[in-house]
Amino acid sequence: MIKKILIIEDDMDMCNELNEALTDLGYQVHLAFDGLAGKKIIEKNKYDIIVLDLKIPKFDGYRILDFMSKKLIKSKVIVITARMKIHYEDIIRQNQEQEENDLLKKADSILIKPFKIMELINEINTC
Amino acid sequence: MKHNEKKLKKESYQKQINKLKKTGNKLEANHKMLQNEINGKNKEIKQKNNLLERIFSNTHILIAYLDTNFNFIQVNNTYANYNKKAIDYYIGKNYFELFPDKEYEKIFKQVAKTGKPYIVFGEKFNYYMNTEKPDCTYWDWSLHPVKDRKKAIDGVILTLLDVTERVKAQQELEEVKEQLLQSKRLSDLGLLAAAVAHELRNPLSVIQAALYNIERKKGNAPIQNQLHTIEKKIMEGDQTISNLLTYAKIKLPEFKRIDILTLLDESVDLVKLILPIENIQINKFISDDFNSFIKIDPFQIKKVFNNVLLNSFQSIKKSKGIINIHAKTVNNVMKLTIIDNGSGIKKADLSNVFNPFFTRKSRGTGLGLSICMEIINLHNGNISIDSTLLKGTTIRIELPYRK
Repeated sequence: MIKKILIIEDDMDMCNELNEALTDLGYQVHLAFDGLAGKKIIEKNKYDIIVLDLKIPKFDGYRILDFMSKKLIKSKVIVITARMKIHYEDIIRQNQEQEENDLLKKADSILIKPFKIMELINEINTC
Repeated sequence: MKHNEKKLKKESYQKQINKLKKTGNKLEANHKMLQNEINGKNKEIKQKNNLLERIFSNTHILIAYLDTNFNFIQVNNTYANYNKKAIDYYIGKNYFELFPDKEYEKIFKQVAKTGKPYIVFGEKFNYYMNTEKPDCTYWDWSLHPVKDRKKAIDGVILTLLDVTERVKAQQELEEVKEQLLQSKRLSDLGLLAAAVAHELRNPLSVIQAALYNIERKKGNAPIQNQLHTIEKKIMEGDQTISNLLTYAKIKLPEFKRIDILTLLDESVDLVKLILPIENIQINKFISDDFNSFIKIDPFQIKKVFNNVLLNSFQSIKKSKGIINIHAKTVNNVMKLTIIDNGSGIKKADLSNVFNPFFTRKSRGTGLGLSICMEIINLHNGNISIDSTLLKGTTIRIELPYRK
């Protein structure tokens, strides 16, 4: 069985590099460059693994996680993020931070950028 | 004859006596009247003295009346009580024998000589120190010349008001303000660190991924794409650092007289190069009275144009993007308005857009408009924003012409 992977990430260069690396390893890779596109693709297709950036336009990664849990979508989620805890909005909206941390627990694993591609491949293989 | 003469003389005397008596009575009446008047006036004077005496003694201000050699003529109770002495202790003594101080002696002499009053607020006093009082005291004090009828200076009035508590309260307030500023700076630094980390980790992660692919392809497949990606991401990281540096230390403007329309064109070209979007039309509306030559810092103002135009370009997602630039001169102020038909800004976000690190973009440090605000403020100008979600954004920039 070929594993199907969806990458939701707004940096196209990142998408291209990951696409090349994972396709060469034999995975079937789809790409989405913003949250809304990602959400639509998830609704229509089944993926084994979703590689998800958190800070993406239109519909952020937290909302994707929320959407997936509400729709009972069972794909494994690997979050990739450069985000640290301190963020402008976290300071003005402390409550939201708690909410986001709770949502983040729904992810199967989290990789902090810049991570080694081997780490991502290991995560994908163990899923 | 003799008898007659005598009689006549007697009558004449009698007349004169009567006259004198009358005058005497008149004088007596006058005298009484004057006496009454004097008594009345005395009473009035006493009352007035009493009033002045009461005012003099019932005040929290320390008052001393000195002659031109600075010997005490009179002090009020408050003055005497301050150092726990009787009023009489001071009278006749010399001020600078009691409180020697060369600096103040100079000031006193100056006032006595020139007749110009000397007034100071919140001055730190050392020589009024008293073991029971706080170690250092602060005073509002004044020295006023007193002039006689011929307008010659014949004394000085020294007044002192202890404002130590007020000054201490002010000092505490200043300290609290300073602490607040300090903690704001610290939280800004925290945000700065977070912004740097976030914005640099993104390009670094792409470089990491590109390196993996190069490693994999070593020797056989072409690696041109990866090398290009690495170069691009290094540029991105560098741009982030440069933006943060600009914000951290925006320098004072170096003013140069330039043509602002040329600068604007340069900026438009640059933004088109960074974001090659075909469907954006830029219109310029220059009013007849517009004076395009102005003294500004060209590098800084170009940065403002770049940031504003980049925002407009990024917000335009429609098939036909329009950016209208209006320029006019009103009352020696250059007014530039940049209107786009982009995605606009939510009402709730509008008050935050000039705050550093505020952003709704998935990439960006949230410093663009903060930098604009800093720069325009340094030019004594004004920048404001107006926006309707989904309709577009208007940025107004006002720059004063300077000589």
